[in-house]
Amino acid sequence: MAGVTSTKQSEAAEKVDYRNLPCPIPYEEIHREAMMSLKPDLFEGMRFDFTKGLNHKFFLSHSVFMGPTTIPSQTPETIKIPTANYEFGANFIDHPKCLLSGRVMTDGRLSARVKYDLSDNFTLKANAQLTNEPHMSHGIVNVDYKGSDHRAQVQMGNGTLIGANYVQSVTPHFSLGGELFWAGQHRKSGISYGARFNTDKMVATGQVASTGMVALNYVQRVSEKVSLASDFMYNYMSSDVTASFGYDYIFRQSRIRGKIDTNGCTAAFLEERLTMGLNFILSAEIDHMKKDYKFGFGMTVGE
Amino acid sequence: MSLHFQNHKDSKRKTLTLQQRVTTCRFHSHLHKQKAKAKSRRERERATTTHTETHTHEELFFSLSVMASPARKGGVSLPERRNPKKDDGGDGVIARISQSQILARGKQVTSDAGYVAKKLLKSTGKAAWIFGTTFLILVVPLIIEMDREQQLTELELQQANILGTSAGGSAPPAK
Repeated sequence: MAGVTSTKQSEAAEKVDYRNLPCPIPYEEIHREAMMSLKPDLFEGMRFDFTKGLNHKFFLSHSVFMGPTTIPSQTPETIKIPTANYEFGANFIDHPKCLLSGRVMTDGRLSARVKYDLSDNFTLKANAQLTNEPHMSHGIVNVDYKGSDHRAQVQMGNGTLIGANYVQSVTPHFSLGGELFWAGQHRKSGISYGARFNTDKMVATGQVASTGMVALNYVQRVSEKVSLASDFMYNYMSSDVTASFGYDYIFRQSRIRGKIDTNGCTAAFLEERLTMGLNFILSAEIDHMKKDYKFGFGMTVGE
Repeated sequence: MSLHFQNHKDSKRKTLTLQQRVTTCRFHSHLHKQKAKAKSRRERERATTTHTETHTHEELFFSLSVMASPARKGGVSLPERRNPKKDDGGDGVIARISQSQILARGKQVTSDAGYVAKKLLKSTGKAAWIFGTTFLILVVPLIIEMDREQQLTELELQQANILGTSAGGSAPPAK
């Protein structure tokens, strides 16, 4: 009799406790692992970043960039214009509660980010980008609510942009979410659904949007240093299909990410730690179809 | 008709005698009458241009080329030969062999094969370039980094070994 009750108890412990599910990842970060592995910030030219901490909460950053930037053109030719700019930034980070960050560039662009925890469950975020060009500045305010096994977010932006999203954990490994938005300026509305399944070794996510985009991706952690990712994007309005495969190797002194695409594009990004506080960055992107080759190098100084 | 005329002229003779030249000239004039009903305008033009020329030597060779061209397809005509190296004249064995059907086919096949081989070589070259540059971007930095990581772990292992042995070595004598 006692033996039977003990086995019943162990079975109950193995069964999922649906009242105690973990908190899910926020909806906008549903593709986080795949994005980190497959989409490093590739650049062309020279980049230099210097971060100086004045305080344990406050730091300044100086950043120089020189190189060609591609401007979108109607013809299949790629048009590149050489640009050079300097960006100054100030950040205040009071870790659990408050984050303030501002950046200003020599070409007149200002960007600001605020993240403030109103209480344990409510967070306020604001993001603004101001430019010299008329009608190109925008700002957006988000209010997040974090529940025990769900999250909800409401967004409001300029140009009458209103959005809301919600994500819920269904099992300890699986979560589902949805998002609605309405953009008054362009008279567009959209709805999208996302699902995420993750275990210790892999993450698989899928997202379908009413703008016609279907995105599926899968990341497998092969070992503690290596992870492989693949991504499939399909637009059912414009019949555009792209698949890409990539790897992400994290060593002690370096991190190297590489990817290859079905658009005939391969890219690689290497960050190497030369000494404490000094990082060396190399970026390469080769597009065989358009015959567009982009190579960049940079250094990052500071913690 | 022209082939028949070819057979009529035997390969025995080495040089043209005056009689034969006269015969060819006669044939040439006969051919001019034929040209009035000829299908290709180019032959007619050539006939009219050569009609203004007065060199019998050239007329002779033009007649040969004109006779030869119906045997070849597409209206391709040989350039006029000024000095025939062969002693047996224009319509000997060599000329017959060089104007035969088999040789023409052979030449066509070789040129086709050459064309295909050139295309294949070009596309292999392109593929090799794409593969090579992609390999250089994706694999070579990875190999370099993996090698460095391995060197670092080896160094650390060596250091750990040295520290371990020195600690073990120094402990017993202290005792």
